[in-house]
Amino acid sequence: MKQASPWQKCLDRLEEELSAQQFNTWIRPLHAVNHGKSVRLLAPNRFVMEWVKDRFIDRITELLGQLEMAGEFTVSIEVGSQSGGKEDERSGAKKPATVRVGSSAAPVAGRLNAEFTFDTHVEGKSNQLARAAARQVGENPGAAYNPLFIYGGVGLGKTHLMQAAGNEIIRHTPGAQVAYIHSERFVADMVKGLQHNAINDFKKFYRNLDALLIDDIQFFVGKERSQEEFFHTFNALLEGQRQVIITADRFPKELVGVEERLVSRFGSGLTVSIDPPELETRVAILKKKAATENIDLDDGVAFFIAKRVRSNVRELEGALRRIMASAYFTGRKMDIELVSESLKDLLAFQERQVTINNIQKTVAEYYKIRVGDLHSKSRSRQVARPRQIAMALAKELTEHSLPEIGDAFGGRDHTTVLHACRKVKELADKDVRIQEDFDNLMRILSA
Amino acid sequence: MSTQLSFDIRLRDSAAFENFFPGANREAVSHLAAVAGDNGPGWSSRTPVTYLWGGHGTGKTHLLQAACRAAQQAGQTVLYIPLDCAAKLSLRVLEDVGAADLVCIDDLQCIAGLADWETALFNVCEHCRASTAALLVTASARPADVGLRMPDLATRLGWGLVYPLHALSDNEKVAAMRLRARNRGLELSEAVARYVLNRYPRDMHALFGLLERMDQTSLAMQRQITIPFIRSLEAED
Repeated sequence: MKQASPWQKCLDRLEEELSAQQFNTWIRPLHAVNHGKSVRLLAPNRFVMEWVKDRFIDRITELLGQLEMAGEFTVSIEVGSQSGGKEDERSGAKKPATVRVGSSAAPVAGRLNAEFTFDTHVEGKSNQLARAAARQVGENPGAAYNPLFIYGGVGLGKTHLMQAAGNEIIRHTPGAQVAYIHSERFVADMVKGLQHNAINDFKKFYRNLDALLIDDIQFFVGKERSQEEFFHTFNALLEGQRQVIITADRFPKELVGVEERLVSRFGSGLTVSIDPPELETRVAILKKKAATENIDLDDGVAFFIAKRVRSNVRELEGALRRIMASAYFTGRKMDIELVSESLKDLLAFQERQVTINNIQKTVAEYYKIRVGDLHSKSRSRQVARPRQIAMALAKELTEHSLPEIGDAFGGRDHTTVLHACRKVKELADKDVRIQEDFDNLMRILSA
Repeated sequence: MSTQLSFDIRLRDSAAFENFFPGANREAVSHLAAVAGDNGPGWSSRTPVTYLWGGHGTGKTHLLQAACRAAQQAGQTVLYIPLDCAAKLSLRVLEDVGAADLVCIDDLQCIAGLADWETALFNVCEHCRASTAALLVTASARPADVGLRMPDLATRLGWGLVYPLHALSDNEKVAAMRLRARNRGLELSEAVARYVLNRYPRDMHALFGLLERMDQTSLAMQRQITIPFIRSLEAED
């Protein structure tokens, strides 16, 4: 029969001595790693660590010494976890947790998420350029587009594209050192590196990469020391022709609070934007996402959802998840009736938010005119154009009839509304600024 | 496995799924039970975050603690962090979630608008997305309405499953009280439950508090819970 290890014997004794609650809460989660006469305990978090250190560690040391008749046993405790090595025992752990040692100063730049590839990404007008650039970078890193700077609003798929490029680099060059890190984590790791006198390890880690993907760079705003460090890392990588991909929620020059030299470096490669997906892309995203779960989403249902959930891809995926959950737990078919019911709270919110008044107010603010101008008889272009855009937005974003919309704009006829909608579409096709204005307003109103 | 509490907090004894009257919240409860028991459909275990929101007394904390208990019984390592105590907590509670299979954050609204806390929670979201850990959050309002300053955090919370918890109707409150009583080994007639509902504060915390008091007093006095018994309690007050 296998003999119980010192730690197991110690656990048995502690289980007798402590209440079940105490034992289960504080002792059971510990890992023990034996090294001769010393035992290193790994606690799942700092609280457990501190609690055990304060109340139980003396007793554990005493017990281990007694049980092994070994005299002095050294017991240390730290935060961390380890998957099942030979000497590693965890009392009944179901599965090993990911390794993360909180007290270490080593950078924890993440691995790439294997699900973020170009195959799982849905292309549309809103992300076409960014996707093409990311693909180019994935196939040919460190060359023409360096750095690649992708910007756009939250939840539009910047991280997905960035990581797809990273995964592509690894696919072409197995073994390439590609690190993905969120800017916030970069800052935290750097601070940790400074605290633990390990800043050189930190620098070495980043400067030896083949590609660095750094997400949401706007988190650097106002953090001068991190910017300084990143600037040097960035230069070292670029000089070594290693690829850097950056994402942000805004255009480089709009990153107020980030040093000028860094901003100009960001813009020295290729800068591409991702816009909110248009209706057809939203439908394609829904269908693709459903297909990965082996669900065949009906076109009509997909359009129904996509017309109502407009602001970003995360929200769209959240809505789909909710519908899948409803269908699963109620055993019903995924039809429009089920969709309307399961999204009622979400849709009610959106419909409540976007009113004609709200649209008029937002459009007036955007073009710096008065709401009264939108109701007026004025036909000057400065007023007529915003009015037409506001009408087109009202048609797109509310359920009001055209006569109702006309009425809300100073008692105009429904044919005027129809004309406005056609005109805006026609202008947007020809003039990119009109298209941008329309998209921006749409984004503001659907956010 | 265990539930690690951020300090000396106990899960409420009554917080269990079988002790929760779901009313219109059946789907949310089923999903939570699936996440906690690790036995839902594939997408359920891949849901990066489950977000429950609702008003006072809709059962947010009860369900979250019930999920902790169920996950613990299923062998998961659970971390429960009540943010209404945020003032007493260090940010580290959110920084050390590494080893947990299930991270439960109660009362998100208490830290909404606090930049450091939001950033730490953002990291928890990212950690859960990148690992197999599940994240459950409760709050008083939707992710977009709860007063978060970081849009990145609000959209990540909305990315998972978002459920409003609906308040119970009067009939459901009667049923909920009777269920709770039955699970305590008490017989509470419908007439008595309605009597209570018509005369006392009607939020669920108050009703369950009253039920507990009735239970203890009836046991001490060796009396059945009847309308005259409740009147005698009123007379004592």
